[in-house]
Formats: sequence, C-alpha cells, structure tokens
Amino acid sequence: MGLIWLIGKRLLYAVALITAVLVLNFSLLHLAPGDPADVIAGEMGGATAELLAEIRALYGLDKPFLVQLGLYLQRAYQGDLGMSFYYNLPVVDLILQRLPATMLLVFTALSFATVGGTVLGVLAARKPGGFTSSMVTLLSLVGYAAPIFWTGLMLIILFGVVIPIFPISGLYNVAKMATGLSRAVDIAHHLVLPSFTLGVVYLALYSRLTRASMLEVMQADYVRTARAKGARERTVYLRHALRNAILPVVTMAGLQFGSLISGAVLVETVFNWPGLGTLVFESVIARDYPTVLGVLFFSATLVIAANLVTDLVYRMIDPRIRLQD
Amino acid sequence: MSVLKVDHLCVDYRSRAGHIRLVDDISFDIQPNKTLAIVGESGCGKSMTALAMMRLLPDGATITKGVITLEGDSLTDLPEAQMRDIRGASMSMIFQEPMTSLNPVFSVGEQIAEVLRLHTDLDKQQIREKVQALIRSVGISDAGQRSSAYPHELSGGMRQRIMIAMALACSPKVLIADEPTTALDVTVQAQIFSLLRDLQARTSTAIVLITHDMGVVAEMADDIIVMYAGRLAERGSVETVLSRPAHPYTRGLIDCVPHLQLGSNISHKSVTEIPGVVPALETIGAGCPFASRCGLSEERCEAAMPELSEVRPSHQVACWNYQET
Ligand SMILES: Nc1ncnc2c1ncn2[C@@H]1O[C@H](COP(=O)(O)OP(=O)(O)OP(=O)(O)O)[C@@H](O)[C@H]1O
Ligand code: SF4
Ligand SMILES: [Mg+2]
Repeated sequence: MGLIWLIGKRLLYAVALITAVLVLNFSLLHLAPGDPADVIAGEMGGATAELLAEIRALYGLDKPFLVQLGLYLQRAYQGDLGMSFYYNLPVVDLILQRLPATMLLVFTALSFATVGGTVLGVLAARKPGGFTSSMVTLLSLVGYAAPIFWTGLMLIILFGVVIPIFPISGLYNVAKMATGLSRAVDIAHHLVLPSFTLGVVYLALYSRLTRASMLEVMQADYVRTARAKGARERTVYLRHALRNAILPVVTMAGLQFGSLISGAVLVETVFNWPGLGTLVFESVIARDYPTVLGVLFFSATLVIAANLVTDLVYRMIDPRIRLQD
Repeated sequence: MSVLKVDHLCVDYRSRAGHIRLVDDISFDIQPNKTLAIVGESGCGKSMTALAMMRLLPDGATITKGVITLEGDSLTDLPEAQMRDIRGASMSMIFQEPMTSLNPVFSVGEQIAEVLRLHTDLDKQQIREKVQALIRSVGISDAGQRSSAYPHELSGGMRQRIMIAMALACSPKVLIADEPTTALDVTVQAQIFSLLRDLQARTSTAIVLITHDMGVVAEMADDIIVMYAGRLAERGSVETVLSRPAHPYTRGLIDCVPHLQLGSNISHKSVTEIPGVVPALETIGAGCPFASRCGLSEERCEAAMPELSEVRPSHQVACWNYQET
C-alpha cells in the first residue's frame, strides 16, 4: 500500500517537473537568436521568402509562442516530440536509436564508480594511514580534480597513440562487421575508455565517501556488539559495517545521476560515441530545436526515474526509512 | 569454585602523547549463580575492565599484566580464533546504550539468530524456534511478530531485552552487564533488573554488573568491588561493604544514596556528594589517587599507594587510614 502510494506520488511530481522542464527549455530555445526556418532553408539549398513562409507554416513556426508551446506540450505527452529539421526523422525515433549507446555508457560508468569506489573505500578504511589508504586518497584527489575532457584526452593519447590497446572512437569497429559474441566483445572493448573517463570522477568520490563512512561506522556500538557475539572480523566488517556505510553512497549515486548524464555528453563527444550526447551536440550546432528539446526532455525523465529508483533501493537497504513517508 | 578469575589485571593505553594505566592491578573472582558488582564513578575503568575480560579493548588499549581465567582456562593468551568461540557463547556482554547497540539494518530476530549460527549447529527451523523462545524468555509477548521488528521500532527497554536475549542465547557461564539500565527510565530499570534476577535463577549464570548506583548494588549483587581511578579501593561481600564500608571513597558513594543511610531519617540528613572529580589518569603519582578528595588524607597518603589489606575475612581495602566500623 505504502509503496504504491509513494510511487504514485512520485509520478505526479515527475509529471509536474517534466512539464516545467519542457516549458523552460522551450522558452529558452525560443528566445535564442537565430531562426530555424533559415537553417532548414539553408539545408535545402536556398531561401526565398515563399520557401521560408512555407517552412514556417509546415513546422508551426508562424503561430504565436504560447500556441506553439501548448501544441508542443500536448504532442509531447502523446509521445510525439516532432520532426527533426536536420535528420528529417521523428525525434522519438532518433532518440530511441541513440538511447541504448548512452545507457550502456552511463550504466557501465555508474557500476564501475559505485562498485569500484566501494571496494577501494573499504580497502582504504581497513588501515587508515596505511599504504592502500594513502593510494586511494591520492587517486581520489587526482581523479576528482581532473576534468572529464582532460582525462578523456589523456587516455586517448595514452591508449590510442602511445600504447594503442584500446579503441578511442565509436561504439564498434564498422570494418570488422562482427556479429554475436565477437560483436559484444568488440563493443565492450570500445566501451573501456569512455566509461572509465566518465566513471573515474565518481569512483574517486565514492571511494572517499565509503572510506569516511566505514571509518565512522566501525566506531559504532553495534560493531562492538557484533564482536561481542563472536563474529569474525571479516563478518563484522562486511556484514555489519558495510551495510550501514553504503547508505550515503547510494544517496550520492542517485543524486548524481543527472550530472553523470551531462558528463556523458562530453565523453560521447570526445570519444565520438554515438549516443544522446553526440546527438544533442550535433543538433545544437544545426539548430535542430525539436531534437535538442527532445533529448533534454528525455534526460530529465531519466534523472527523475533514477531518483525514484534510488528511493526504492534506499528503502530496501535501510529499514528505518520504510515506515515514514 | 569460581567460574571466572581476574588476577592482577592491568590495562594500559598507549598513544603518541604517552602511556597511561587505565586499569591497575585489579583482582576478583565470581562464583556461578552469583552477581559481582563493579562500582565507581565515571572514568574509573569499569568498562575497560569488562572489555578486557572480553578481550575487546579499544585500539591502543592492551592487557599488559595479569591473567583472566574462565573455568580454569586462561583467556589472556588464547589465540583470537578461540577467543571468538568464547565471546557470545561462554561469556557475553550487554552494553550501556541499547539505542545504538543493535544494528539498525537487521531485524532483531536476525541479530539473535546470528549468535546461534555462530556457536551452535542448529538448523534454520530450530534457530527460528529458539529465537522466539529467547524473545519470550526476556518477557516480550508475541515473539513471532517482534522477531521481525527492526531496532528503531522498539523502545529502549525492549531493545535492552533483545540484547539480553542475544547475550543469553548460548547459556553463557558469565554475563557482563555494563550499566545496562543507565539509559532507561526508572520503571524500566526495575523491570530489567528483575528480569536479570529471574534469568539468573533459571540459568545459574554468573553476572558481572557494572554500575555506579549503590542502590542497584544493594538490590542485585552478592559481592562488590569498588574501583577508583583504575585501582581497587575496596572489595568484599555486599552485605559487609555496604553496612561497614572501610574506604572513605566507598563511604562517599554510599552517602550519595539517601535510603541507604541506615537508621537515619532522609529529611534530617542531606545527601552528600563527594567533593571534586576523579583526577586525570596521567596526573596520578605514586600515592593514593583519592588523596585530593579525601577528608582523611595525610602525608603518607601522598607518598605511597596503600596496599590492599584485610579488614576481616573476605573484606579488603586499600587505604592507609581505613576505619573499622
Ligand atoms: N577508547 C578509549 N581510548 C582511550 N582511553 C579511553 C577510551 N575509552 C575510555 N578511555 C579512558 O579510560 C578510562 C576508563 O574508562 P572507562 O570507560 O573504563 O570508565 P568507566 O568506569 O566505565 O566510566 P563510565 O561510568 O563513564 O562508563 C577513562 O579515563 C577514559 O578516559
Ligand atoms: S589512603 Fe589516605 S587518601 Fe587514600 S583513601 Fe585512605 S585516607 Fe584517603
Ligand atoms: Mg563505562
């Protein structure tokens, strides 16, 4: 009962939030200088006054702003995000084409960051001030301070030029025409550098967070209780302490899903990864407003969905949250 | 035949700042089915003595001298793996803070079951039954439902009952209760103590009860040791020590409890507090640590620590000027 109610409430919030996102984005793009009709006409090879008027009528650009906005919202909620000026395809189709690549990148980076960060943090907390701990602190400082594009470019130079063991561009090797398993391997191989680049900042963050959280939790009274029961040190550490120490990491990972997606735009551009990031980049340059809006709409939805999932996961691991709300 | 013997126990704490003795030459022993009270003001080393018996001293604190034997076997030089088999099984401990001593992310039934899994060969079904029986035995009704509750869903008194159930799960020879009711209100305190008495009558467990409440001592304990600044001040049967205290510190503690001033009317005689505070352990010199607060202090008190001397059979005191009453 409580859970359904919670999800229902969240969905309601989500619709309101997404509407706000759409209105805001639509208005901003409308205010931006430049007339999409010019661009479209340019693509077609020349702009006469009649052609411009025709294009405006076709895309509804001649209607008043509020009418355009209203129409857009109405269609968006029916799953129609309009036609792309530039690709001449329905925006929804375009997005669905590119979505899997982005999801693959984002979730690989997220798993790498959370799992890797937790493992490193736990190791570092074992002996605060020890070798592992210092290495993790150093790594997390470097990882956290380095901007994504810099990490990306350095990795490209290192693994693309100096020791060329990882592909530095694209999702798979077109020339190979691989299928089945070897295609999966090929994609995984291409995934290494982009997901590492995207994930390493978060890896750094989560390893520090886990370390601090573990050190705190190890002082807790219930850890002493677990020892007094006769539990092994490993059980105390991984069962009693980690389960509590992981809570802030889950919260953080959920909250940062949005920034992970915006990071993906950069990474995709650097590594020429055919996902939503490159799509939005290309369509901004081309002033392809429907596509830009569509991608923004989609990422907002993803972020909101991620927050809901975080909430549910948190409830699963922290019984104290279950009864509230 | 004593079940637990502590012989000349010393616990030292080493830090960068130096080296202090938290527990200095404490000896006592306990018989089955008896309760020994350890009494003293805050910071006197009561918890350190208890944790030393469990070999669960905090980082930096170690047993530097003395022997602890459980049923004739020395615990002090037992390998850690064997010590784990003793913790929670032959010797268990409950703590001062029931609010934080249970792990918030596991149900209380699960936390009791863990002890049984660690120390017995019972199968799942047997463990479930035993957990419910234990929960019932500490006076909690509808054990089935309560066992799936999480700590935050229970009151402090309930949690302490769960801690007791957990501590008694494997019928320990010795139960150490470190101020088990300090965090609870008065009616709940009385319930917990009567529960402990009932359980002792059924199981013959020896109880080490740490407290700074002489009223509790009178009600619960058979024998008492009074600690001051890590050292033994007085030791004997409760009957003797409470009615004929020999050490000025013990007398001070007794005077803090109004209804223990036998033969005097509370309204006529005001409750007296011992003036001053326990000195910082690093400032204690060669003399009697109580000298700075003692009305009977004289020159030799500052010069040398009084040896433990026999006031009468099984009643010892460490004071140059002890008074036979
Ligand atoms: N983790 C620790 N590390 C170092 N010293 C400690 C630690 N915990 C306590 N001490 C010191 O050890 C001494 C004895 O403390 P202990 O906890 O045994 O006192 P206590 O008699 O149990 O007091 P209370 O009634 O407050 O529980 C105190 O001087 C205290 O400052
Ligand atoms: S030895 Fe001296 S200072 Fe210490 S308690 Fe006895 S009389 Fe007081
Ligand atoms: Mg204590």
